Amino acid sequence: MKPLETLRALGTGGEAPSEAKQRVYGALMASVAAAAAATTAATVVKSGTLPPAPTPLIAGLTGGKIAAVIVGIWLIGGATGAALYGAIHPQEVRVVYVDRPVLSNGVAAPVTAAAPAPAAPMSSTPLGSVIDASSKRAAVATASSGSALARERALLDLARANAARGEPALVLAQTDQHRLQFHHGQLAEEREALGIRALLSLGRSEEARTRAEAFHLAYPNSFLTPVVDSALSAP
Amino acid sequence: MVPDFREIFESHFSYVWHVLKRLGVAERDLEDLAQQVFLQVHGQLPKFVSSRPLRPWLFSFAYHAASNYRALSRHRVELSIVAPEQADTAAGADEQLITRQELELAELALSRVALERRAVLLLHEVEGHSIPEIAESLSIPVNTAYSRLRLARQEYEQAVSRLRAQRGEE
Repeated sequence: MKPLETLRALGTGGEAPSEAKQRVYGALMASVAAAAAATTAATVVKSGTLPPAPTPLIAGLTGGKIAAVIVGIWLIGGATGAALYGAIHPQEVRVVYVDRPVLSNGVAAPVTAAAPAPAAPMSSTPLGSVIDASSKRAAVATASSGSALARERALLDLARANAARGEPALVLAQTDQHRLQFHHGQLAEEREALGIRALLSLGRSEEARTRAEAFHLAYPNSFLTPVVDSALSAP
Repeated sequence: MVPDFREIFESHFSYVWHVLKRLGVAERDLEDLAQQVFLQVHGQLPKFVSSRPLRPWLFSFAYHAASNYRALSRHRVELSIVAPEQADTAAGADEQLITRQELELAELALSRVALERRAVLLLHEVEGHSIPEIAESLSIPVNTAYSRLRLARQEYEQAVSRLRAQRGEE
């Protein structure tokens, strides 16, 4: 028989293992649900950080028109100056990734403060504990896109909430989802550390080690290295 | 009308599974990759044109997932073949005459064909899709698809010859 005829006889393959099919479907649904929840959470986080809408300053000043005009000119002038200054000297947005309490609906509480948090020893705290922003350079990300970062953060918040609940399969699904959506995202380092710990919790230690090797190569000076290493060396 | 996702998953999971395997995804990574593929399918389903054949469309997701996967250096040396006993059980009478060794050899030779050409070879020779259909699915020009098929056939036949020589058959 000619080689190509044998090739045609291969067909498209038989049935895939049914356990694998079930597992994939379960993980798939978890990812889809996580993505939907992340979108909602991102909206919540975003709305929580927005400043209150300014009220019109001249509203109600029906009496003193002159005073209103002067105040208006002064405000417009100030705002224009501030906008010009902001355009000329764009400020770097520094974001600190911190642990937050998990609400009853499973969504982490939004944090609006971007100030450095007090230091905590990594060896005695779980992954994602409060990080000293000034000394842990890797924990600080420059936000090039606020909304993308918010979505990244919301997705990893869900994963961390599930890690706290002892749901490593969900954590893995959510970190995979993060990798799909934000492969080189600002929180990729946290994601990888979470994923490694989830794999270990699921007993997939070989995969965890492979992923940890990649983690060490990608982030040789990571502040999460002790966390990853201690998880790997745990019995 | 947009097809139902659950129905697609149920009917085509095995197909995607074996395509990934034939595109070089290691056994241990098949579940992760299959999940990735179906996650993308889920996201893109509203854009699917129902008049188009479904399998080449699914194949394109699997192909891109496998390409990205193999781009990672640690996966490059992996060779994955479908076990002969898993080959299509609905084979015809003539096909049943093909021995297990021949099927094994075909899978192995297939794994030696470069990925981009292997994709065209699989879609055309194994699944019987037309070249314009394949070109559309893989988003490549028709002439490129023809060229890849020609080269893939050559690579495949050369691989078969080499493997037979190694086994002392020729």
